[in-house]
Amino acid sequence: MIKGQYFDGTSAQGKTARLSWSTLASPLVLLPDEALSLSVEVTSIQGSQVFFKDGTSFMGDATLPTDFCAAYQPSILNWIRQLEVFSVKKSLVLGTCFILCVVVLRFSIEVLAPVITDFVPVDAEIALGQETYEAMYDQHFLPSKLSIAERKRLQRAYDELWAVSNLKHKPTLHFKQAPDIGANALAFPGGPIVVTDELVHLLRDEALVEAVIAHELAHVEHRHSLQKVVIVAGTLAVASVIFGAEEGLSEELVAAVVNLYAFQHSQKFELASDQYAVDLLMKAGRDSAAVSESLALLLANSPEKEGLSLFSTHPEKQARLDALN
Amino acid sequence: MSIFAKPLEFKGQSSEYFGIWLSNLLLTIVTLGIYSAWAKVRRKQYFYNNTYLEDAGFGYHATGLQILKGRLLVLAGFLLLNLLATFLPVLYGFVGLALFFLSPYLINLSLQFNARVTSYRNVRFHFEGSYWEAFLAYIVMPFLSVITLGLLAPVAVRFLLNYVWSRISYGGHSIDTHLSLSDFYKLFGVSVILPVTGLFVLATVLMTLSFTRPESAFSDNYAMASIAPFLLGFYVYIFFIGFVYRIFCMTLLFKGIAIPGAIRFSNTIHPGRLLFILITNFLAIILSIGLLIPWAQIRQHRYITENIATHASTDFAEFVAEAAEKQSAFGEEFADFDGVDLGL
Repeated sequence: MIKGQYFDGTSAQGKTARLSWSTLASPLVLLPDEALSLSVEVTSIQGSQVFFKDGTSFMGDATLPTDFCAAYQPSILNWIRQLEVFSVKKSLVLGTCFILCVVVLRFSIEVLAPVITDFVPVDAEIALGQETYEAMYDQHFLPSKLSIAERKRLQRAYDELWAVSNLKHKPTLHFKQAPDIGANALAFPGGPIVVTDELVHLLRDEALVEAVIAHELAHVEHRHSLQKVVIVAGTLAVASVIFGAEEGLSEELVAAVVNLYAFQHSQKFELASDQYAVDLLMKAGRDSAAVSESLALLLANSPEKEGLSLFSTHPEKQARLDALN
Repeated sequence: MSIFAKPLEFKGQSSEYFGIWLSNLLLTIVTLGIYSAWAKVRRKQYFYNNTYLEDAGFGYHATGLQILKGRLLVLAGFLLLNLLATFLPVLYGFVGLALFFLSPYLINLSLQFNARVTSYRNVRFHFEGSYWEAFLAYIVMPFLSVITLGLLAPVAVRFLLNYVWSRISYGGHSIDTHLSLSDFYKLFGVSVILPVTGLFVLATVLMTLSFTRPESAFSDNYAMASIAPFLLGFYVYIFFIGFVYRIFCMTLLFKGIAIPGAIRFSNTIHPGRLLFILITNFLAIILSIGLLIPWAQIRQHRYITENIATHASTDFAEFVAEAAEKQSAFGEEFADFDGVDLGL
């Protein structure tokens, strides 16, 4: 028997009552003043309150007995309530399970990213890349000042590299001045590939520029940009699913951590592209050492700041050189 | 009529909530997110049930399925918009415009749902929205805040809180709001303008001192890498300010709402103490890799609730008894309302 107050649903004023219960039937609300007994079906138990199907409720004077809750809640809910009861041992087990699940999901996303990317039509990827390129064009690129002969030679080398690659479509190769970006080469989803004048001037040797182009072709062939989108979106989806129920600062923290993760993630694509560039140059009958030479030259011209690798989309060039060697 | 002052009471405990929080996380991840709707219900129930006003806790009656349906609807809407944007841009414009004008209605629906699933002494709350007021509160005023570079932000926040709370009723009695605009301007100045100005000064100095762009950086977002720690810090800082501002706005709210003749609120929240709690909570969460989230949430909720005092009239019980009958009469049209929480 549980002492408390009965609310009939039409008034917030409670009536002193008792709740009689057994595991065999619905609980019985006993109202002594009115000599009335009501058999009511439980819909929800919340703290010390019991809500019934007919819109009435009972509020216990103290916490409701565990046996009572167990008797009138669905078995799945009882199981969850058991899980929720705090103990250090249980917390350790649940915490370990949780971390395992996160790790499995994290790796599943990485494994599934290329599979999911395969479902995206190449035409859609090319359209996305073209749109991004056009969006960047006005802000960052100026017409190239490289000589026509120089561009033609590099274009010819690019044609040969593309011919030995596995790409079915041929991304357009652009040469542009990019004072904001500096010495760089960019591969947009599905192409185009942009090589900056600044890079050509810095590397001087065309063979080294070809090595960079081979590296960018690898990004396009393996659809790295799209894979990155899938991985970041997947990670964000998992994070928001896990922490979405939480409100407040933790939510903002999660977003910050996921962004940090996004910064770091594409590093392995760079290593893979370096290796692919080596293979592609060999297949095209060129000197594959150009990849490490171009990296070494860039390393010499842009010494790396320590401690920033955490925030970089690329691994440190020294690490890339080591991987190639 | 004599008035008694009595603080709200929070009976939740960190260790108890830790178990709920951990189970929610685990079940959510095991069910690939589906359980998160039920987790939200469980979390809200815990906080509502353990918050006591005049010796009675609140009830939360949404179901996980309702929350899930709401989320799926929103997700379907976003997917539809994206597909239209890609394949039928003209139609996307029309649908986007329709959704824009539909949004106040959807927001009202969500507010109505949230009020309807909240009960006190088994009497549900009620929200009666107005389309055009919602349009003003959620679209026009924020827009005006942006184009005036935040000058009208306190007006917008006050307007929004006023709209939401003055349209909530309990047992047929509407809540009265008397929110002081000068309080909102003071709060905005101290908790937003001051820290943001300080941040920009600091950022300018740091960037000038340490940010140098290299001559070349083949395939290496060197410039991005240099600026990334600043960006990350800026991002966290801005969210922290936003979070603190939201909390302090709520404390202002509890100074200015009342149910005439029945109950009014006051608060003894000390801004310095609350800020200390928020900052130490933030640090505790970071240092414990999230493990102290339940403790932080309980600590913050307890401080706020226990510093909000209710001033109930002596005939409070009589008031709610009478009020409930009124509620039940005009509330019937919503008797079968099985709303969805759109999370708006």
